[in-house]
Amino acid sequence: MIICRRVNKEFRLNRRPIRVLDDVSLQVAAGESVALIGPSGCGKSTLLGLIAGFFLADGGEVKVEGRVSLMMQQDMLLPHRSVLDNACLPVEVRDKKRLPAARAEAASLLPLFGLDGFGESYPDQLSGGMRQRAALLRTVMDGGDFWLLDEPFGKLDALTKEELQEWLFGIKSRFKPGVLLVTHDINEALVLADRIYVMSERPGRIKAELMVERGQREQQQAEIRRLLLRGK
Amino acid sequence: MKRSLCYSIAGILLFLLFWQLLAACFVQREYLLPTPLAVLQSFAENLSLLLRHSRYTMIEAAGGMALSVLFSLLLALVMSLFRRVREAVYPLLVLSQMVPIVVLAPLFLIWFGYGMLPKVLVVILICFFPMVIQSLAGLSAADSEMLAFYRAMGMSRRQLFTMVRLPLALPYFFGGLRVSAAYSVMGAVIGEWLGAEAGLGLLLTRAQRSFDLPLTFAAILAIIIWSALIFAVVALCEHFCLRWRRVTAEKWE
Repeated sequence: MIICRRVNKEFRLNRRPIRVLDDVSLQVAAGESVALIGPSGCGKSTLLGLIAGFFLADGGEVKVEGRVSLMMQQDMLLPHRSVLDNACLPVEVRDKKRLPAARAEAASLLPLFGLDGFGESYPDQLSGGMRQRAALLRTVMDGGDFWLLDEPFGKLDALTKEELQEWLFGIKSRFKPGVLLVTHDINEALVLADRIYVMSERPGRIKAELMVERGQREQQQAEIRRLLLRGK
Repeated sequence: MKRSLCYSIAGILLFLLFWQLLAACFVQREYLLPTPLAVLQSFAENLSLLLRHSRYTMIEAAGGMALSVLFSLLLALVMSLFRRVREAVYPLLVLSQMVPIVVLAPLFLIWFGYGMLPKVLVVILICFFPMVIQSLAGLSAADSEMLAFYRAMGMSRRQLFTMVRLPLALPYFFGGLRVSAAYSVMGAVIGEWLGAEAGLGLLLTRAQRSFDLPLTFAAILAIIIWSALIFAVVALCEHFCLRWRRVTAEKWE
């Protein structure tokens, strides 16, 4: 379970305090997929950083029961390591003895991640979509109870993005983690999440919370767009 | 790759042909401009002399390079770890490159005599700068977001350094090393030029003073060959240390 209760966060820019998060409360249950959608700069990545432990909240409470695994907009793959070595890095960092077993497991997952035959390739030899899939393989190998996904497909072209969203849905159905997805792509949120929080512009506040109804994508798309535009 | 090599060799041959024609047909005075063939002949005749002097020059150049690598890596490391040290030392580094070497070398001569030490110092002074600057840039190649990501993965400070920062710095370091390699022999020769007991620089001054231009050019040829050799050794090291770069470069060819 991830619980944020009335979380506040300020940053300082040129000695002037800037309020980024204003009384934000949300929760993600085990196995549940939640999307956090909002305009750029609304503090959604900051919230993810608080949950990941990059920094501390100024007020309120952030509670994480279980371990989180991150995936960012930048794939963060190390250029001097092969796909498999990158994917097994979290295991290598925590427990070197488990590395051989982890490598075998990662290698068996390559086809599922569309990386069959690319295990020994270097990141620079892969396309953008393949790199993001390799980054997700690393997230899976990290084995966290929750996946924190920060605009995971934000850098990809529209076509690849759509393809990968469907694919990610399949992957998460298989591994059943809790997911907190940060995005500004309405469609991505509707495809991947069970529940959506809509955030306001800075200072970020939760404007609305809605359950995703399969088969009502278009109505919900319009509803979220209205929510995002309101107050502009 | 092969094709570009052909063009490179053709370019050099064309240049030599032009030189040969210029010297043989127009200048026609060996004490002004010897032909490439005369230079080669002199090179062959004076091979043992050239080798004897080369030994000193190469010890100075290679020794200076090795010390520069050690010194620059250490300095870059300390500078990247301590912000205050970096801020204090960086201007000094840049200043050290603004004083002309030909002004400093005679001072080294006064302080340290005519032996190898002042030449090694000149080589270090020329070679350490590109390596420090490049290594420093390399050690900050991992941005703060990347470091936060790997810290969240559970990496300790030491793991962050050995698994992320150091490997990412390596290509930068080799970039600096290549520049230094190309300059190292030149540094030693400049040192010798201004006063030495032996070395290619000394041989050059003697050959020039006696208007033995074929020998002068033969010595220059020796300097080029030795510089290329040091450069090749560095390139070879890079070849083995940065396998991943080689592989990813092939993709685009």
